Amino acid sequence: MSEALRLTGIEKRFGTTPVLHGIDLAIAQGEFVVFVGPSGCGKSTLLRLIAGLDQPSAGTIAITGKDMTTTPAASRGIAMVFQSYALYPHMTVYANMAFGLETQRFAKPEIDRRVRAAAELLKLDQLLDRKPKALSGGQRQRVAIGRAIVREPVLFLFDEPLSNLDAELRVQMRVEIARLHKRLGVTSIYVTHDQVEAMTMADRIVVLNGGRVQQVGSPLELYNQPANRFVAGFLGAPRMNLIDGERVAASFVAGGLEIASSPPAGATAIGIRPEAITLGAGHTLPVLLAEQLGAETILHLALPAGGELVATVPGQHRFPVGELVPISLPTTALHWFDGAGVAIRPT
Amino acid sequence: MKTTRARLLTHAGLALASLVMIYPVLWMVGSAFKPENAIFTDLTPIPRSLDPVNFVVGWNALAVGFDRFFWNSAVIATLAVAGNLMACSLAGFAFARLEFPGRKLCFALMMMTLMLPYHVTLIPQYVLFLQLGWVDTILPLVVPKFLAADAFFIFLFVQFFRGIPRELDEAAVMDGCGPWRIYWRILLPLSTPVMGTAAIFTFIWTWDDFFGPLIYLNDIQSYTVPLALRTFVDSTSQSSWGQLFAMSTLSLVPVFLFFVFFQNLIIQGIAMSGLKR
Repeated sequence: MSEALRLTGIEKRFGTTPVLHGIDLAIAQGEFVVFVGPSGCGKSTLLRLIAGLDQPSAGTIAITGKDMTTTPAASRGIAMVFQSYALYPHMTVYANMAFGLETQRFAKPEIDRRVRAAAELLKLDQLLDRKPKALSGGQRQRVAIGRAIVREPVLFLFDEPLSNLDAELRVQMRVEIARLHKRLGVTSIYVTHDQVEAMTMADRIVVLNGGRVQQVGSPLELYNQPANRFVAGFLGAPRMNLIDGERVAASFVAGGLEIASSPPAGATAIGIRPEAITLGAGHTLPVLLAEQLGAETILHLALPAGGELVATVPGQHRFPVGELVPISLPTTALHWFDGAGVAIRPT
Repeated sequence: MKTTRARLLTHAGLALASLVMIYPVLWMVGSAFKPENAIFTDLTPIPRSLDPVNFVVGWNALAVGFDRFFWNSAVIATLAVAGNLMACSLAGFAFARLEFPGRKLCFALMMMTLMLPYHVTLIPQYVLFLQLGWVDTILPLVVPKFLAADAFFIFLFVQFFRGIPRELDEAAVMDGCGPWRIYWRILLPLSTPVMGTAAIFTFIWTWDDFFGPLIYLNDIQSYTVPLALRTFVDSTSQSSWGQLFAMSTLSLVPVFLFFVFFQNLIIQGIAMSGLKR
């Protein structure tokens, strides 16, 4: 597959404050890539650099093989959907979608054809004469996407496009955007801080923290084999239990529990996903809190050495606070981390 | 019951205060219909009869008819409005949206000119226009408006543009717009309240301006309405107060109409800018 985007050594400083420290990334044609990370991790900054709204302090941006580091935004063949939609309030839906094409001096019939095609695709045909203020949040979002589609870009950029919608609409639009991507097949980069959006929509996820790429991979790769403690803790809800420990004689003790015998060399912490913990035989821990979700129960258990262990067990269990619950931590589900927080892979 | 009475009292008080404020205007309008000898002896604003003679005579009482003065005033006011809207909005756009070296310094300097009284710059300005050969033309009254000399309106535009989300500009950049097109197609159409405010105040201030025309216009053919009104009260000849008041009343009509038609915009503008003169 050919390459849609390649970032090489991208750095960005605002004044003397570095925001991005040398980002290298390649995105294949047709991929749906999600940039995810906590607020301030640099994901939106990176997106703006790709869009051409800001210039990188160092590094190059190549789009479909051509260096476009200094190319003006409009000439990069990119379309962007903004967090606030950024619809022009004084223009109708039709004019909003047609504006970019008019600026690029497309012929009227061609503009009309593209706008109507996009409107039909996004079920906006009945709303073309409305102004943005007469639209609901979801409709505005669709107009913003429509405005991007009509330009027939080589690359779609989405900057947290769903964060202004309510929970129900967000799920709906998530599905719609994913479906749209399948249908149009345009390479897309989607920025979000919502790990559920990242997990459900992405072909590949790029986890960013502190202006550095932490890990790149498919959602399940990242989920099953996090490269470090940050990625391990960031993806998955409830988050992975990360417990510091040490080697005692031949076994590994963390949180006061003897976790495993023969730990890998250099291990200083373990991680285990709440859903990997099972009820029965093993350690017995007192319940701090049991959250009933109906299909599953989330148990907060006290560790002997302080701190807590979260376990998600299927079904409904009415454990009173303080009751001792037997659980086991399967060795195969354990993630090992060294002193620098980097995952230790079994060899 | 008590609240009704309290409200009645409040309204009566306010009505009285309004009457005190509007009395001079009413007196002027009333006096326009009174014979000369009754004007200063009769303090009621209501004339005994509606005799339009002062209007008829007053219109042509001077060497040049008032149609000429109204035309002159209208030309200057219209050009001033056009100039201010164009130049101040462009300057405001530059300060609010463009990055250029010295932007903050220029903005600070511009804001400082707000604190200079008109009279401080008067003499140098006059000398400048004299050397340009512009004295006794309307150019000194009009050209500066096209050069964004009105810091107050620039500031008004800057503040308004700053309130428009930058994402709109960025969306326009993605759509292929340069700064000019962003200004013209995105920001200006969204700026009707501030445009309206600037237009109205420029019109009223220019229409009412006495000092500027007094200094720069010498030929009666190019007089504006306020200058012409002064001619009625001439120390060398007899003052025609009735005609003065009649023409003064007429000179208020354009301002009044402006206000009636645009009062919503004016109120919006005042609320928006906290403007008062």
